[in-house]
Amino acid sequence: MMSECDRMIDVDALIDGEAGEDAATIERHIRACPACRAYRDDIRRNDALLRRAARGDAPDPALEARLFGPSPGAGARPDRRRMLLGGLGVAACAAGLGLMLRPSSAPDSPDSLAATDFRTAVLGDFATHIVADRPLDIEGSDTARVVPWVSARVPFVLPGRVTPEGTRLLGGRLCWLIGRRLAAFSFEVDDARIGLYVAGADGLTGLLDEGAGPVASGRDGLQGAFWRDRGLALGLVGPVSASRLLGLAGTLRG
Amino acid sequence: MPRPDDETRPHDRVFRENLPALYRLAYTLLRQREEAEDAVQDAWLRVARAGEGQAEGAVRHPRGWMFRILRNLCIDRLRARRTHLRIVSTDIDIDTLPASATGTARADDAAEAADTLARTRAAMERMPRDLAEILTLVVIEGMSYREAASVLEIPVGTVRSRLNRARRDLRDRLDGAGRAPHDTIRPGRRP
Repeated sequence: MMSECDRMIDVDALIDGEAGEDAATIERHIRACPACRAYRDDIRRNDALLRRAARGDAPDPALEARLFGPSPGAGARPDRRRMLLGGLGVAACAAGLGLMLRPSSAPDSPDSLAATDFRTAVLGDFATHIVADRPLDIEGSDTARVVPWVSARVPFVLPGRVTPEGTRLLGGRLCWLIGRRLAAFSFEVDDARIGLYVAGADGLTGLLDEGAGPVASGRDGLQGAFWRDRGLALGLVGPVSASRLLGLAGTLRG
Repeated sequence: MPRPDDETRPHDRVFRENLPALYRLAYTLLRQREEAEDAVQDAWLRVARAGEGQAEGAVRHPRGWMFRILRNLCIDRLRARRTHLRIVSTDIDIDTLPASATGTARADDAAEAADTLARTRAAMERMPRDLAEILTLVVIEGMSYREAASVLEIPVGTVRSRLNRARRDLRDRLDGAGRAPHDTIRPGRRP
């Protein structure tokens, strides 16, 4: 086992240029201490490795275009490429191993996701974001402004109508759940806030049948109405009764 | 609401200059490329919103401020993953890497170098997030202890001790991964 020394933390400070006027003292100690010398050599080597490994860690160029693109809408739609083989090739190795090591029963890709994951995820997101009154990505009741903003940033076409009858739009946000991008809208109804979540339904299996009526599901005081329509999975959730949500969902399906 | 295509906002330059570094922090924490990019985009929206009506220079340390915003968003996402009981682990146990990737001597130097980098990356992804995070900020991004402390909202002394733990952790993981199977397993290390 490699020997240790209480002053190894000072070696860090020296390497990082944080030793200040103690630098000379620490250098003297390193010359006299084999453990600290070995530690210094190790962390110099490992730090260099870390920096080299990080060189390949860059965001997709589309991200920069998405944030700073010169023309409105250019590159605004998120690039869905996974780029598992990009970068150093290391990510590919890691991803491959991740698949190998993952239990076979785990939902390891959208292809094996159950609709229950969608419902659980949506109810959880509503609890952590809307109930907690976290800010929306775009706020306002102007459907003509909010919906296109969200629409430009999701990899599917939103339904023609996203505002249930008798509700007031509060805004929209983007979220990332169950391995996919979702669009979310928040509404006010009956003095409560409710949310509509929309995702591509590819690979969602189970209880959501295309075109079938919404099914109700609840958790922790929240209720939800969930359905599948034209390749989309939709969930309307909130702290109101399931029957109310089913009724509101019906106004969107018409 | 800020528009991402609006060139007149303050903070554009600082955010853009730090985009790769911000992404690396997000990836360190979230360990999923696409989600890391989404977190960076969310951070940009927050920054842009906060910057509305603000002159450039109104935030004293904009870089640290942006990293803090991003970090908090990443933490929210990690919490949400737990809420949803659906944590897709990208952790790689480097002890289980196949022999072809675990550092037996190779004639091909380039392959060996790539292998070393692969093990380094795998070690980072296997490491507790708080340790990987401090290595990213200080070693990779070159932040001072003070700046890292500001981003992490912890005292400088904690940065020092956490960084030391992180470096020892990385050293142990890399040493362990490079060992031949017949080598003695260190006391306290996972077999």
